[in-house]
Amino acid sequence: MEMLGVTKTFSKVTALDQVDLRVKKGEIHALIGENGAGKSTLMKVLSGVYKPDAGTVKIDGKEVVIKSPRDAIDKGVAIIYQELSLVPELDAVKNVMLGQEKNFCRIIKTQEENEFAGKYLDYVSRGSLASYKTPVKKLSVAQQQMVDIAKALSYQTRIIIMDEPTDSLTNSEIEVLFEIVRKLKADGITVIYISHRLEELFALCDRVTVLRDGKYIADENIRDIDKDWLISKMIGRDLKDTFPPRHRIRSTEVVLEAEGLTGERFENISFQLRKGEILGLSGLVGAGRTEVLRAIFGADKLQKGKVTIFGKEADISHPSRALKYGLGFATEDRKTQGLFLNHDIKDNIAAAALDKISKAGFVSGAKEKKMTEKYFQELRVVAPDTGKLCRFLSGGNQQKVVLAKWLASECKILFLDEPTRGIDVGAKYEIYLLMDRLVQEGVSIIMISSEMPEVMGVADRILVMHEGVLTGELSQEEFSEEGIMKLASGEKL
Amino acid sequence: MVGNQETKKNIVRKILDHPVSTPYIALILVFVISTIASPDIFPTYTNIANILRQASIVGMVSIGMTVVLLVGGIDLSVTSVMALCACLLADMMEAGIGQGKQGIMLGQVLLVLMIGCLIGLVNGLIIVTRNLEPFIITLGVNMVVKGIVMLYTKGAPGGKVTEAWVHFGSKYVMGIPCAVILYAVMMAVFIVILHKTVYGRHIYAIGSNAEAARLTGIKVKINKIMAYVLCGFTAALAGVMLMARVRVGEPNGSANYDMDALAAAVIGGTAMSGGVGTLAGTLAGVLIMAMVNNILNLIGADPNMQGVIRGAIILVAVLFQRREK
Repeated sequence: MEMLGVTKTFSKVTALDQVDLRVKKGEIHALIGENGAGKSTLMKVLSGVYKPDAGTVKIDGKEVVIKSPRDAIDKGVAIIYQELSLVPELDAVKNVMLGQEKNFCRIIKTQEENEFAGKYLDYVSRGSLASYKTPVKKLSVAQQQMVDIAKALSYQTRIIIMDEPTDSLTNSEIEVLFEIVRKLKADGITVIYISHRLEELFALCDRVTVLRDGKYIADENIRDIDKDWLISKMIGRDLKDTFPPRHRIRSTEVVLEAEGLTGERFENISFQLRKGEILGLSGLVGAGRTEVLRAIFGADKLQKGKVTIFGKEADISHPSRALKYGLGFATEDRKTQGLFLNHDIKDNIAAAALDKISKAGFVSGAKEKKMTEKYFQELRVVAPDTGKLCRFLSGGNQQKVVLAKWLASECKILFLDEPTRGIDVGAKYEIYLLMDRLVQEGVSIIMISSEMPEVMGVADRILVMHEGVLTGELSQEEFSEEGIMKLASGEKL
Repeated sequence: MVGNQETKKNIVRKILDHPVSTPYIALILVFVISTIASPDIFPTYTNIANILRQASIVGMVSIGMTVVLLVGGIDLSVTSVMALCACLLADMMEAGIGQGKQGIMLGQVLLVLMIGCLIGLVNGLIIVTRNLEPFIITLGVNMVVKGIVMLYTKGAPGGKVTEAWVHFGSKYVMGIPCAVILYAVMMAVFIVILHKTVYGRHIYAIGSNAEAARLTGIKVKINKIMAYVLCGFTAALAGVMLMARVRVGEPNGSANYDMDALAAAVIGGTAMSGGVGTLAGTLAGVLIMAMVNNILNLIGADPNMQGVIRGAIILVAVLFQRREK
């Protein structure tokens, strides 16, 4: 399969710029790049979700035009997404059959369905799925993924694309997935594997293609390269330039203390946050980091434990109380939880600071304009003015608006959950600069980040969680990717 | 000279881009077409006054309806609230008239307004604390309250209206019908609430993205409940206005006000999903509906035609909204 010179532009953003991808039949091919490099977009072109503005796609040497996702499936290409595309209420068999029922006439013949789907489900799960009849929402993420793969196979696909398949899996589940992928390869199926976890690529894949900023950078055999080569190709510059110099006030004052926090997804979390420091919170997806911060912020219920803020025991049952204690929380998913997309920039920036620009419940339009203009300029949000609706902004600018909102609220303790996810490299740097400036002014930050270079480059200390428990703390001298990964996987250092 | 042309274009563009412009352009169009269709009667002072007076009652309901829509909900119990308040008040006035009182009877009026608020509170509490569908809950409440009204009045109009309120329903102040003035005042109050207060900001935020609002420290539940209370309030007030107009407590007189209020809000640009919309837009919607009703009457159209035309207007308005997005 070859994709040559593929270009795709959205409004003013060029997501793909003359990208080439050459995949040999029956190989496991890795596709890597930073967030926003274009991997998902390229795969969406291949799987028929997007039509390219330029470029050709060849399958088995013949040029093809893929008109829609259905068309892609007909041509033998299937994609398995991070956000699984199963229907939660239906069982495994029905999910596999979804979209193919007409093969069995209008009246659905259960027996034939079970046999047909069962064949593929058996192949993938090898008996680890107790029953194919339970609704998939009751299955674990790993099992749901198996159903998704079985479904793809039932379409007689020859090329399966897996987009970040291991994000939500435990180590043992990852091993099982690897076995499935190797089996697929043995049976002649080509796998395109997208992942940001470099160790996986070295363990599983044959060749790799690197993208950066929408451009093709290189492709090589895995055995001919090493991790450093990959990282340097992905980032394109020295790691040293990626993060701003640190300016810290180095205070010993404890602004927030958590003692024995226990909630639905975490247990016995205790830590201290000092004034003017950036505390990194690392761990694998699902470790419970977001849940801890949400509980402190009052967004979720805290079952047990005590939180002390600026020396006073804090009773935070609702985010409105958290604001009163000087907390702020920039959530992981800015689109659904952090922004009012159909409102303009001005409204969004002012949203958490209304009490500062109003008197007796009446908002001062003048004060609002002044305040929002100030932060709009300071954060260099790219937009004609504050009247632009937020849904028209790029990811990086949307994130800037979210940060502007919390800056405007003048919070003293700021929680950032994956603050640079889905943002281009330039904007990332601006956000790091902003964080640095904030802590100089005495604000304390807890940052959740799954990007190890980021958390090591920005944080002063790193706490690591694994499956709901704090497994360790690293001081700056102890920072190492290995150390973090070990703690994040539940091992001791 | 080129500069002048550019500025002119910019101004036109700015006017067209403003969210409220579409309904008002439509309003002007309707007015022009109606004047052409009935040049002798339509544009006259008496007729316009009639239109406005008729519009004020729907307008009053649509104020509260707009607030609830903004927050992402809907209130289908307004007609029963109107009927309940009208009938209760008329009966209380009858008792008062028997004692020789013919005034405003402020105490009794405030009482029925409170009842309206109370029903709104019930709506809000059930919907918000149990996280249930506003459509179904307010529909159910509507049926219950309507049933109560029917039981209470045995389905027949009754009660009496004091002179003060009869005057309100038919007289003018400085050339403007009293009902219109009340509507205008209430509009002003609510416009201030929605656009100038923190509460108003919260309403828009909740309607746009309730979860983001909560995580921004907004007390979503309480604000939503308040929206339903406000809607109950305006519905009650509309019921009082209706009673003043027809001079009796009519249990069946409030039919269609819910759909008309809804239509007015939607035509005016209020999104059913919440977070978008203005009272100014709703006003245009109210006037358009009232004008259309009026002109259809004037040209002697089949009364059933009114339903067809109104429905068509709503469809066109929504399609237009979608296209603008």
